[in-house]
Amino acid sequence: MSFKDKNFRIVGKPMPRHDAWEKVLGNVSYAGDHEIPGMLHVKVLRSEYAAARLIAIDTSAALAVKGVETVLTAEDVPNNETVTKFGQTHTVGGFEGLYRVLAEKKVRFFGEAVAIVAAKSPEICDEALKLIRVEYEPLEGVFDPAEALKPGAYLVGEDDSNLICQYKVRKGDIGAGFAKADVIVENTYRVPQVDHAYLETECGSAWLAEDGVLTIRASTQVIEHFRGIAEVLGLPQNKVRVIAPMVGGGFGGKEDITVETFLALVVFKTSKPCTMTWTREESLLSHGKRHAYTMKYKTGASSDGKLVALEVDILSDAGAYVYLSPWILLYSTVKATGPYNIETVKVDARTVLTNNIFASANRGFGGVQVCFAYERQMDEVAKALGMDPLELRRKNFLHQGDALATGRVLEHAVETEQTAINVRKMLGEKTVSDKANILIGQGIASSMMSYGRMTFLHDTSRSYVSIELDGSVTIRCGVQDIGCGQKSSLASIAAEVLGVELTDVTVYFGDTALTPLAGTTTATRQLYMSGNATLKAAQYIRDNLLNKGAEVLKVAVEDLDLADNKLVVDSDPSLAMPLAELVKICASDGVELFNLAQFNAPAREFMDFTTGQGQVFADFTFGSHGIEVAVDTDTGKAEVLKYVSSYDVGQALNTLSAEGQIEGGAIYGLGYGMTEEILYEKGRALNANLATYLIPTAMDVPDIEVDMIESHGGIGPFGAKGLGEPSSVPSAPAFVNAVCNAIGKSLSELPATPERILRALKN
Amino acid sequence: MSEVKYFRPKSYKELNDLLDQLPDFFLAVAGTTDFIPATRNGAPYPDAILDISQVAEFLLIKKDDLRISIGAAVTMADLFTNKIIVENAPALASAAKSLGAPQTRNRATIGGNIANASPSADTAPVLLTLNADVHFLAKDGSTRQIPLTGFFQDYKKTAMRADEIITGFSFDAPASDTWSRFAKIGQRNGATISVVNMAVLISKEGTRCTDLKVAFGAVGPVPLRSPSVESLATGKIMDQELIGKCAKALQLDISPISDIRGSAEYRRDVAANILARALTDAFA
Repeated sequence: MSFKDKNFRIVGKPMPRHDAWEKVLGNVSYAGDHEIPGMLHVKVLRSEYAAARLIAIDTSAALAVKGVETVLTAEDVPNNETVTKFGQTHTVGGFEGLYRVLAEKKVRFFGEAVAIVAAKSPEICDEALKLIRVEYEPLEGVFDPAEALKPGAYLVGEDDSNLICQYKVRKGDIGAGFAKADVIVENTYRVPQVDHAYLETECGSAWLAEDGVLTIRASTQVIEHFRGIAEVLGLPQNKVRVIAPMVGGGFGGKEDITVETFLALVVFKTSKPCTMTWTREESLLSHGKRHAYTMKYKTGASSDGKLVALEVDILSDAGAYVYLSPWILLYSTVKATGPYNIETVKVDARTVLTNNIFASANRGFGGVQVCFAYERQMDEVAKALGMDPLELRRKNFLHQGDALATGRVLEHAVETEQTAINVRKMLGEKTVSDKANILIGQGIASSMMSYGRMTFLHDTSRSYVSIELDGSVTIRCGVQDIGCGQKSSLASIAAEVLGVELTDVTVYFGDTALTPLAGTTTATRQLYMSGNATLKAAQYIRDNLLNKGAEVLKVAVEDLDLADNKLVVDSDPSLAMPLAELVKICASDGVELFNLAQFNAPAREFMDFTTGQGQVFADFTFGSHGIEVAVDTDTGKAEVLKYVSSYDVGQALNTLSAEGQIEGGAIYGLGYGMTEEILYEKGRALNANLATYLIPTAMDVPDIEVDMIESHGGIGPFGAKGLGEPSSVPSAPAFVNAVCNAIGKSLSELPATPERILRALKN
Repeated sequence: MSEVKYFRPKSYKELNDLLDQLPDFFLAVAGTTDFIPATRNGAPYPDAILDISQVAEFLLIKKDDLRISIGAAVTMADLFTNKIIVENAPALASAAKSLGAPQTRNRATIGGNIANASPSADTAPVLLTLNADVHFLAKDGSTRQIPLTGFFQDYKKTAMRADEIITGFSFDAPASDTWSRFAKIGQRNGATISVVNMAVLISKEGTRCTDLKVAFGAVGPVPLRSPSVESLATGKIMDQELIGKCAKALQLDISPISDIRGSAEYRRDVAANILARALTDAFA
């Protein structure tokens, strides 16, 4: 059993997570756990208006409070406004957005940072915040993207239009497509803004290191924001260092800068160390949300169940600032068809500024919203045709070798159909209700979700692997570990390739000064990108070890292997040599026992804007969810009785971690289906706490049954595909499809709350 | 930042001895599951906090003959595990078990649940159907008790005076053949605030309803009994027609509002449905 014969010792096994014990024992120091003697506490004054002109800010009274070190407004920021390309390594244009550290000119959303206070204690900060006098001129604002598009609409920013960007996809003659249709189904689907609700709110600390490097230790998915922070402060990029310790949940909400620039500014101005932790209310009010969408779907199908035409119109509410809205919209545009082969396709998509909280990355990144629409629509088309929903899907699934509506041919494994068949089988026969007021329903939903960033971004990752003189292994890789096992996966890969145990590997991660940059922990890219980089580096060391071993033992290199901390000779086990011994020989003979490897994702040019044709993604993960619900017709409450989930994972690195991802994804997505929604009154969030913004509790989630197919057809290490985002995408439509199946009515809006279900029952 | 005095007596005697030290603006607290969120949201701190969570007498649940008494500092977790409550007032146990999350239930007390006077307080409808009395102790050492029905006056307004604290509750144990139910409509299964809650207590002879007490929460400014339903049903044969009439009659007594947890229309519909379901089940 080894890497050599692909009969792995570690990869694909149910292993304890590399970082589990330290977390269970409470030994992990998160970003908010860091104490520095004499550190200042930093708090933010937030706007109480969603739209207002900022006339004047008087900080004198706040500055006079004993214990207050500094009070900063936009004027104090060297470069308060920067035009950022939001993480691009390869410039494509059209994706720039304004990043503003502190509000100036016009306040754009309720909760926007207006000023920051640094003081000796949090209580003094609170007192000082109350004494800052801000003069606002309230403005009307605009809160609905359709309104924001109308001529003469209130302008959210300083540009002459609220429209950020629009995309389209054109495949074939849509008119001819609908002409061939025997049934045409038209629906408008609405999904709300939702939050990430990670356990750890935004937090961090910062200090000026003895070498003059401004150092920030923060809860983030992107340490490479050090470049943007340097730009804000007018410092060279190599004078800003960002460290990401273990992160207590990200889900996309820590992809944008949160506390980093505030902390950096305080250090920049005072040269004193400082710390900041957002309250839950602040977190809910001021980090980017998942976009609310309105999606019009018109589907034409022939009587035998073949999809002949699909016309989609997407309107996305970007909220108050651009951030990642254009990218997210592009994801939606490309994925609007779902995993289906449709003869003619026309997609139009727009994203628009409003005075709601800005929207940005959230697990699924534009793939989630459209999945609700295309999978609800599949059930509605099946109903119109009198066909079984699984049967309809099977007639239309894309397969390996087929092309998406964008012309992109699916070169790699596509097992969507098998996952759908599996979840249907796992759901089994419908439970029989024994009560008059309880209706049972089952629903399935399938999805196609990319892993890895868009190919025109020319993504790269680097990882450094070395083997120490005692045979233990060190990895240095700039991944941010956000709780999904990013660090653990890299350890598994190196341990497998170098023939050591998981516990023999130490991983240093998430530090722009000390670990090679590995890109963002976003876009389900770390296993794929940094996994491949680590594999490449470990493979280099393995080759060096085996070559030296062949020389020393005088056997053919093909006869050698590394397993169980030994150099193994396949043809003669008695010749085996301890790995540590081989390492010492290599070291004394000058053989390199380290390697810094870079993995480059396949790079493509940007898609054709006029037709939407071209490649946007390198590969996709395909999967299906199945849900059985019991709906109480007295109350509208839908209880989830069964939850099953099936994915082609390519190759699981650690089956326990992969199962955990799939279960976590299901629960995360179920909240979107059942309860989650930011409620607004003219831009002011009404439920900015976890007593009123409702995520699922342990009482709301049944055991989740997981099925994993291993096609080995992914482009990650060992043929792995990504799971982080894909595992969550089809939850909400599977839930709502089950509810609709139970009550015999259609729901087209999320969340499907008891109230909405009861209203559907009444109508 | 001003100073707040803090008292934590261990017994009724210790409590009585410190009453005259209390300033005019004091607040009695126990589990603080309402107090701490309220102050975090900007509610003013009192000049003194009187923590009654350790007063030994306030931690007791007793049954003397037919009268059951519950101390103000009895927690939700204590209530739903207590034999006297589980056997004599199972609906009160259900209500206590439905409130908040395990952490909340380990701290939240029955006295606090009533004193806070939220329209959605889960123990309130049950205590209303039990015809419970609420007991007070005033700063001058005097005591009094009033029926809970007269306690809730308007949204967050009660008959408790500023110089009083709640010391406990008492009610007659219902007859052993009484049918009861507590129902809660929340937006999720755990850690949820009631969108509507309901308690019913029914005495019957065959299909005849000899006595009905029904109370609702979160359908008006205060938790309330439904006299229209009670007078309509008492003494009558309970059939589907009467159940339908009861569900209609309920609408006269409730005045729900729309808020972030649900619309007035939903609350009316659900209140009617869960009442009809309870009456159907009780007489099935």
